[in-house]
Parts: sequence; C-alpha cells; structure tokens
Amino acid sequence: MKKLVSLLATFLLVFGFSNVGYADDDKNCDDFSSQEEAQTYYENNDPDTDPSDLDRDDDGQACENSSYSGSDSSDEEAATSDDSASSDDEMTSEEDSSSDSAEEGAEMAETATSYPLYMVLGLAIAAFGSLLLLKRRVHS
Amino acid sequence: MVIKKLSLLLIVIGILLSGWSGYEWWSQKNAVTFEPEKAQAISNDWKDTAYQKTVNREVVQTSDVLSSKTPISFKTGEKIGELTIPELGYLYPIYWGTDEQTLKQGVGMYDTKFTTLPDEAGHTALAGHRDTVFDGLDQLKNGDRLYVTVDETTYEYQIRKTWITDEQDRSVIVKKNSPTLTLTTCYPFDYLGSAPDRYIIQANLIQIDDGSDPQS
Repeated sequence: MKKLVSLLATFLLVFGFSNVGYADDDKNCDDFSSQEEAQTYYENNDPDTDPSDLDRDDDGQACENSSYSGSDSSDEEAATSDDSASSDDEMTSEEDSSSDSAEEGAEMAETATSYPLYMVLGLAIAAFGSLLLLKRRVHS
Repeated sequence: MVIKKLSLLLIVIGILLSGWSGYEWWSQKNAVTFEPEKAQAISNDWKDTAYQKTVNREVVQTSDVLSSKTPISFKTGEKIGELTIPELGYLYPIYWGTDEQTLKQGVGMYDTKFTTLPDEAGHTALAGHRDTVFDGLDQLKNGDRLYVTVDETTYEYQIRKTWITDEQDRSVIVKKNSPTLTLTTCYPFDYLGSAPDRYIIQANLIQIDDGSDPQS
C-alpha cells in the first residue's frame, strides 16, 4: 500500500514536471468574452489573493480596463467609480496603441513543435514503469 | 499484482508516446533535403560573404526577367518554390501560408497584407519550425547567402542582420520598400515546450536569375 502511495506521488511529480513547458491555468483578461465573466471568475477564485492578477489596481473590479466588444463595462464603471475619467483615458490610449500595432505589422507564426518534449516525457514514463517492475522483481 | 499491471501499462504508454512523437518529428524533419552538392551548385559564389550591392526596387520592377510574368495567386498549403541555403547544404520546400498544417510540410511563406512574393520586390517572409525544418538555422552569419526559387526564377539574398525578439513583436512582419527576405523561427532552439522568443534572419536581394543565362 505504501508503495502504491509513493508510486502515485512519483507519477504526479513526473506529470507536474511535464507541465513546466506549458502555460499554467493562469487566466488573462482576454481569456474572457466580457468584463462580467471576468468579474465572476475573479469573485469565485479567491478574490483576496487574486491568483490570476485580474484586478491589478485592487479596486475589486476585474479587467475593467480591458476592451471587450459588445460589452458596456466602461459605462458601468463610469457610474460606479470616481476615477472613470482617468481609466477611460487609459483605455482609449490602449486601444490606440493596439490598433497602431495592428497597422504596423503582422503576428509571427508559431514555429515550435512539442515532439521533443513528448519524446522525453514518453521515455520518462517508460523508464519509471520499468524501474517499478524491476524493484518488484528484486523484492519478491 | 496491481503494481505490476500499472508498471507494464506505464511502459506501454511511454513507448507509444515517444514512438509516435519521434515518428512525427522524424517525418517532418525529412521534409527538407540535405544535399550539400546540389545546394551548393545553385551558384558559383555562394561562399563569398563580402557584402554585395543590394538590388533596389526599381531595378526589379523594370527587369526583363519579371516583366513577362503574370501575377500568381496561391492556395494555402500549396507548394510554391524552394529555399536553398548552400552554407548549411539544405534545400527546403516552400509552401504558401504559415498555419499549423502548412508548417508541418516544410517552410511557410507569410500570406499577409504586409508581405509579398519575391517578384513583387517587397518584403518576403518565411517561417519554419525550429526543431524540424529550420534546425541549425542559428549557424548562419551575416553575409551568408539564401536562394529562393519561385516559378523558375532564383532570387539571391544576402544576410544582413540576425536578432532575437519577443513572439508578440509586430515590428518584424512589416511593409518594406526594398526587396527583403526574412526568416522567422522559434527561439531558443534547444528549449523543450513552448517558445517565448523568435529568431529573425533578415537578408537583402542581391541578384535575380531566371536560369537561362548566368549573370556575372
């Protein structure tokens, strides 16, 4: 039984390690389609520590400066907060810069495959399995 | 007993995973041809890394080589030509587009409003996977020559600049008024998993050859 536990622990360790190369489940403002959605996610996921850092200015409003098409979050914000003027300014300047960069050039292609990573991972899993098998043989 | 089964299962899963990814990697790597003799036969002076005079836009647009050509349009994923790098001894097939499926086949030519085909004398940009087709691209230096063959015309470029930038950088694939070739691939080259950076090689057009008569 103890073996099984340690086995699972090692297994988790291997998979935990394999996640290093990927982005973790950290959410960004542009992962949501509206400010409301971001706000709900923020409120349901430990708003005090805010692990995804959706509320950068700590005013309890998540992603209020992100521009979502079809959402009237900026109007809401104007009604609720006093510094709406300054954040509106920020928003428009952000929009300006993003449209500028869209004019400027195109995005570059995704040019990395994950095959080498999978090869290493597969070998690690197989090595782990055979180690387990060998260990058992020695014991019995 | 449970542990034995589990460990056997792990071995099988592990071998299948590395086998499959190894096969995919190998087959995509083989999209390029390693034939130094053929690659170096493309030109007599491929070794000459002294800076050559850049061909300017006007010369390209008024040259006899191109005046007879009609504009071509390609479908995404269609093979449009070949990239030759004598310095590395490789020949790379070029496909139209830079989406995931196209890049699995070989080198992809950017299909954006900022980039053009070589015969339009603007900015021509190519992308390739760092770990399959564009493996070893970091060995190229300023002055090395790149040859792009499209529609039986060979465009000779010379590397002027290489640099590393962020993947979000939008100042690379831009409109250019002088005939330029840009290669992009992911950086770092030996990094497992996702790639946060891009390796950029930029070259200028130094000669056009339609294959009929080798210019001096």
